[in-house]
Amino acid sequence: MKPVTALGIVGSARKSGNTSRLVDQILAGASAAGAETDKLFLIDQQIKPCLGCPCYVQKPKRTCVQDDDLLAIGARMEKAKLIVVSTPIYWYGPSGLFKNFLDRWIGLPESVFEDTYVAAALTMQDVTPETAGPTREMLERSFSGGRWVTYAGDLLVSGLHHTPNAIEGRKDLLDQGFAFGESLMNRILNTANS
Amino acid sequence: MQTGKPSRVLGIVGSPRRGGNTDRLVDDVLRGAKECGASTQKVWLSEFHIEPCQGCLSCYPEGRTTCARHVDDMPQLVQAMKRADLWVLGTPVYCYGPTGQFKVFFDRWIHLLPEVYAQTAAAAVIPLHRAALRARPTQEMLKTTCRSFGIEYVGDLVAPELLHVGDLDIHPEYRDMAYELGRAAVTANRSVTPKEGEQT
Repeated sequence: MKPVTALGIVGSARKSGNTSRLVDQILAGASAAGAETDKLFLIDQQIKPCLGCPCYVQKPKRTCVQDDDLLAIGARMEKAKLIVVSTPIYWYGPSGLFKNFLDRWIGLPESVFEDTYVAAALTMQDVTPETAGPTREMLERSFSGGRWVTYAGDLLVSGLHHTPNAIEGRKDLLDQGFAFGESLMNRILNTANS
Repeated sequence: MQTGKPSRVLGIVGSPRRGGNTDRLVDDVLRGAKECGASTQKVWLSEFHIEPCQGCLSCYPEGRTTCARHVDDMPQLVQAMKRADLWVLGTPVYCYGPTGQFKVFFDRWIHLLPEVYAQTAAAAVIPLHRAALRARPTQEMLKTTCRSFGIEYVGDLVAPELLHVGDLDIHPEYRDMAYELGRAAVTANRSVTPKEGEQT
């Protein structure tokens, strides 16, 4: 069988912080289920803001006019069967780094999203689930429109102290990440084989 | 305002489009505020270089005058924010949230010192394509964050069915609503005490 790839996209600026570590765990779980993995950090990429010019009404669809790393990221996304996006919760929303990237998805070719699953990993210090509410709603609605992808849901890890390595002491959360990635990939492979 | 002192209002445009719906509605809010005696200023975030928060937390929780990690245009914006006692936050809805450009700016509020946001109120202008419900996550992010700073959130204008530049002309009622929001925000019966260093 052709190998499937799970791509983790880290929307935190901290390359060895909790969000990145959680993504590692999800990818490790997906790998245990048989996937190849890829990972990228948005902080390493040049991603300019969406200019709000009307690529969305062009027929056939036009890709973004901005000259930056977006299309190269899109090529990696296109190779993936599962895209795990991730962001810490900043001010009840996704990080600006992540949101700036998400805004640009509209300028990617449609082939990037064909037959693709998206899942989200969210981290926060707060323990009140409502704090992640706007972000979860934003992601679910963005990815469930039918036009894009199949949204496989999110994993919210809360109560993480804001220090970058807080998750290391939380085996329960690391295990949750692994299990999330493994079951997600199993589900995807089972669907593909049925 | 209650003190009888003219209010200073700062419009912050988080849309990349100059002259687009968000920009024009922020103008209308400022026009309403001016009518009530306020002085106004407007900035376009697209003209400022603002780096995303690195999460280093060297500013947290005390705040800092400038970010420890970035030398960018944020100090200029912070100065303008400090001078104003009402911020008009304008962002269209992109992917059910504020624009990335706005959110990058918003994340950097973490290093604001109390002297910047104390005794400050905020209003928001949120245009979007399609139905108003889709503005909900954006409204929540803005409102809840303002409240966590103790910034009075005096209200927002959610303006549906605006997609292209110029669509505002099909909905002139939004312009009136924005104008009224500006008037209401400035005349709100708030007990305002001057910011630090201000002449009374």
